[in-house]
Amino acid sequence: MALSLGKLTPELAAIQVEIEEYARGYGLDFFPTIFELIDADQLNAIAARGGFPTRYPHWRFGMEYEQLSKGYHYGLQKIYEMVINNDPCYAYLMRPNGLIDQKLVMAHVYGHCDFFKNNQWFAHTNRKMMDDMANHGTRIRRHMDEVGVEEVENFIDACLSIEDLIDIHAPFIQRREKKDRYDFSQSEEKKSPRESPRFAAKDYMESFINPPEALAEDNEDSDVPSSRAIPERPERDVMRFLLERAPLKSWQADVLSIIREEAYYFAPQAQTKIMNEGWASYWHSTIMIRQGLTSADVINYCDHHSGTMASSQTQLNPYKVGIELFRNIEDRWNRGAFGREYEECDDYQKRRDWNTDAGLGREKIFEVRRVHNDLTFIDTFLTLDFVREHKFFRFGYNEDTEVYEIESREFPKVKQQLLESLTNRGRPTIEVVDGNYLNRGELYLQHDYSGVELQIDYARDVLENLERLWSRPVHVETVLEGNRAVLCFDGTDHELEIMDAVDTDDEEEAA
Amino acid sequence: MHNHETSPNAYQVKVGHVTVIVKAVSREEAIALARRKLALEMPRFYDIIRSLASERFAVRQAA
Repeated sequence: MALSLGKLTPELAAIQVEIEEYARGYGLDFFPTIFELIDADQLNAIAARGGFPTRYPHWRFGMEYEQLSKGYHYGLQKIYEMVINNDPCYAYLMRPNGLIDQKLVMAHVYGHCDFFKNNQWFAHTNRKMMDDMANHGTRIRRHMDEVGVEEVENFIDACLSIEDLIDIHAPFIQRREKKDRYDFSQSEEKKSPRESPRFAAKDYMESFINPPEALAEDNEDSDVPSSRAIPERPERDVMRFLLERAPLKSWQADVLSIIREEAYYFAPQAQTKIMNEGWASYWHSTIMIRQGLTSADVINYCDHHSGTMASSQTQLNPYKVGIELFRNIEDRWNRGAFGREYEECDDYQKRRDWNTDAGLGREKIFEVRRVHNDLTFIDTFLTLDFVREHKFFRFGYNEDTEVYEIESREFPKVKQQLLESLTNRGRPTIEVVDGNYLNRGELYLQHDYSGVELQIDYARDVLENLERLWSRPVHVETVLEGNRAVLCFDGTDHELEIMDAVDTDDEEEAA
Repeated sequence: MHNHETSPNAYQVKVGHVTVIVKAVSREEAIALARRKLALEMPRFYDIIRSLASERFAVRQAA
């Protein structure tokens, strides 16, 4: 379904010009940005489709729309803004919002647009995704016309259940030769026939040392194709492996390739949630406080800003953590509170009052937004002082009391848990290690266990969907309660095989 | 100018029990295109299709 969107009122258009000028004045660099003014209902409909007005039809978009719509009507939630990584950037403003809100949203949006354009993790994303999403919709609708809505929608469900099984670093690393694997133009002709190894021999000894019968036999053997592992190296991009190897019909391959392309488009957004929101919030706050506000607007602005930044006792607010870390970095680099001399200083008072008037804060945060993702951002800049100041803690499930409770306020443990939740976007890392397991064409996957177990009911559902795509039994090796385990699905039954115990990090730590 | 050598012809390429028809300018290209077509249609046999010697492909010009 395509939605018709409204243009800005003259008043809002003037505000856009004003805010854009402020943003450029601070050195923000973004693609041209188009704001659309829409109703709450339209905004919910677009948000349900991940921000794109035209996408392929699927039941989950309707389900998400219902959730958002009900949440809005019951007064539980409200989407202030939405912005799409595209060239030009598209952003949506909600018509009922007051002018001060629209100003805040515009300033926030320019922060996001700058981040999309300049952060390296977005460098390989498709900047014409608005058009391509619409094209994906057309392609899938055509398949639905040909093979039926339900069949295509069920197949999309199976593809979506493995959409996290991609290689998020693939756009930056060339893991295999660039040659198209389906280009056979030089496959046989350029290959020189393999010569059988010969021993050096004088002419008169040749027939004895290199008997012709033995050489002929050896040559015959060399015609037998060498058996190569499939895949040759473990493949983290499970979707790509299936595209290349699974017996899919052409419409199925097309649908899978669409879901995979969209998964790669959205991956950097999941990798930079804290940074992206922190950066946008930093700029809306800077622009609004320094230029955007009149005295009449202050209370309204503070109310909305504090609502967005509110910390919860149970959840990490990416807006809050992001903006505070950016401010912390700016402050430290302005004071010169970095480098060896500062790190080696043990005097708490001296560290707190450290000031060399370096004035490098702004420059540093622009560098940080260019090169980091959430994982490296937290790893590099989350300090002991920051964790103490913001009262972070690590929580865990206590089996005795049957409640989640604070386990530790120790800095290394808090940081470790945070980093674990950000590694691979908090998703399990799973690789295809054998596409011809037991020489029966079965699929064998391996979960790279790093302390967090697979959720068994989810894993089983994914195995069922994988089996559907692969059409042969599938297995995944993982670690359950300290033992190596293999979950299998053969098309009708699930099996769980528990094997030998493994040394986990926790055990090593305890030892 | 019309160059007869580079204008594509239809070739029938047979390997085992499978026959495909491709348009190519030479027998070598016909084999390469047949491999491609077969590998796309039967992804599980990719390695076998790749390693098959060219002599295993019976190529004849289609009418």
